[in-house]
Amino acid sequence: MLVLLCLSLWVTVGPPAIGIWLGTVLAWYVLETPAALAVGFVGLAAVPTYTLEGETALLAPTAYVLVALAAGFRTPHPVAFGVAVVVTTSGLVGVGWLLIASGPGSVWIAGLALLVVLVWCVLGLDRYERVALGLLEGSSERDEPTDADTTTQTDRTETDRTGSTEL
Amino acid sequence: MYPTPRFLARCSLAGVLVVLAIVFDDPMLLVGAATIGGWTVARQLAFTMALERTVENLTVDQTVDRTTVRTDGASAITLGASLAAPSSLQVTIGGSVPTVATLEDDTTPPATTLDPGDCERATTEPLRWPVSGRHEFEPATVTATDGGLRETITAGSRPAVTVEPRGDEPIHVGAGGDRIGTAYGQHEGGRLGSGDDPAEPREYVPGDTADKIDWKATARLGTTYVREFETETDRRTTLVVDHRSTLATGPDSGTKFDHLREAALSVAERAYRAGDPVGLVTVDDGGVSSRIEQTTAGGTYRTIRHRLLDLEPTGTTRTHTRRLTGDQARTRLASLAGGSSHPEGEPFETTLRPFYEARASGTDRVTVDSLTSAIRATTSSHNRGQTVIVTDDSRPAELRETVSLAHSHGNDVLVLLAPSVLYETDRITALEQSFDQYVAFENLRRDLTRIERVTALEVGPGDRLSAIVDAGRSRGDVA
Repeated sequence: MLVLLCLSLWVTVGPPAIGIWLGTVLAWYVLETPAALAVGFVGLAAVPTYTLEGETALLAPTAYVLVALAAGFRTPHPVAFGVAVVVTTSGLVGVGWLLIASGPGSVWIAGLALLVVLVWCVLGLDRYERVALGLLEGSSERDEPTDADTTTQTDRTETDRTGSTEL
Repeated sequence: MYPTPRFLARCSLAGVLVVLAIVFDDPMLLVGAATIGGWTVARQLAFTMALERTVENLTVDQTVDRTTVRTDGASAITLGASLAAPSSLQVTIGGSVPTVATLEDDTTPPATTLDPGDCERATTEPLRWPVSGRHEFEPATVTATDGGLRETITAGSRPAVTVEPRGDEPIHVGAGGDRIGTAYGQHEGGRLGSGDDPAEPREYVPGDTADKIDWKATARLGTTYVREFETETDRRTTLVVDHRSTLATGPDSGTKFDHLREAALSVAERAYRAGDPVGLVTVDDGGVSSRIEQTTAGGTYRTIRHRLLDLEPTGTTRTHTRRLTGDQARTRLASLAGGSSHPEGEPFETTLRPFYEARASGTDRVTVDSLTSAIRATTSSHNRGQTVIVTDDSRPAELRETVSLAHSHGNDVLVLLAPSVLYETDRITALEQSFDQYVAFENLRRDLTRIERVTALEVGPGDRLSAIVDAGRSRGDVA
């Protein structure tokens, strides 16, 4: 995967590909996939000679989509993960491309639309999960902590001492 | 589902790229944001699918070992979780504890974690119940996470524990787990002859004297009837109460001796109400600690009652002791005599001496080494009646010998036995194991009952006995 990414970058942007590739690998190793994607695309955008026009221009972005797909191999449902990556990415890119193609100077509109669609997808999937688990009916009675990483054992000791009593 | 801060930070990189795209007017950065968005949605979908599968396979079980306890009693809650198939998620199951329950030794509420690949985990925590009432547990809380996303649901049963106040504690007196149907100590005269209580009239037969003819019944029925009267009988009852150190076993307000004392008081009261002479022999680790001869006098019954109420097992302390024992009276009398410098005695000494002398002569301690020796030293073969032996099952051989000796005097023998297994303070002991111990006790009790004119009854806490018998019944050992 990393070799394929390196070749794609070299074909697309030439010698700067080495720096972009090293930054991507380092971010992937330390901060996982999203950071690697961010570093890679920022690197591509930083290359003055690179534009989305040309026969090989889409090689590097496609290689980064494969990087996102690679993260799904460790999940119990790699196929569903891959389909979700491809469909969502294609959809978001399509929305952005449509809005940018509609007129010059509309990158900011495309950016905002992309975020809105992404948030809509995330919330929709969250609702699907709640419905599937039957959590919506009793959601008002549930005591949901707001931050998992700050919930300590001491907190549990206090919050779990509940129960009903008939004297 | 709830994202961890780390996951949220990574997803927000899509927003950062959108901002950079707007700032630098570069659509390439929007492609990056879309790719990160795709990864985010895919990760969310993978978590949802794994969570659904995990919840389908998960079984959470919250159980308590005792559903009924006394105030300040202990029970244990067991929280178990099992997966039909291993999950890729880390699943943490947390049990709840009702607010009124106290966790022992500052432990935390029960919680267990199924790491990816684990299929079964269980944990048990001891609880104490200081407040009476019916207390219901909340369902267990199941938290599943893949490191980036987390969801919390509730699962499992809601067991309830009924805490009964101490004051209503029923004392079981019976045999083989069943309460006896009649009051122990009841008896009938069984003979007809002279007396005050009239019996049924019967037809006249030659040989009946004329003064026995019931003239009213004869006139009413048209044939000669005679009236007979029930003979009044006295059954001398001797209570032999064991208060050696082994009788102190059990919870603070429900030791073997506490329950046996209630049963002994009941026997004494019934004997007194029936007009039977009743006496008392108490035995501690040092021998016969007190002895009250059999009489029907109300004053003696009250003395027996007070003596039983003041009695404590050897080795236990009592804050307020109302009765001055003979030994204590002799000791104080000796110190009173030694400390006086006045030739005729100090007024204080003169006042107290008669009191101590009366008490000092009231109790004759007899040094014996067993309950059998105590019976031998205090009961007479001339006074036939009923001997009530109040003890526990900690010395079976001695008990058999004692019953045999009491029986050999021609007495009816009632044995009130406290099974040690009902007073174990280790509440975690498996009920199945306790049932085996109870079966051993029951064999001893039946052996004693097989002796002619011997009745052996168990005395103990009814709830504990029910729990043990139920455990045996569920195992199929009890019909």
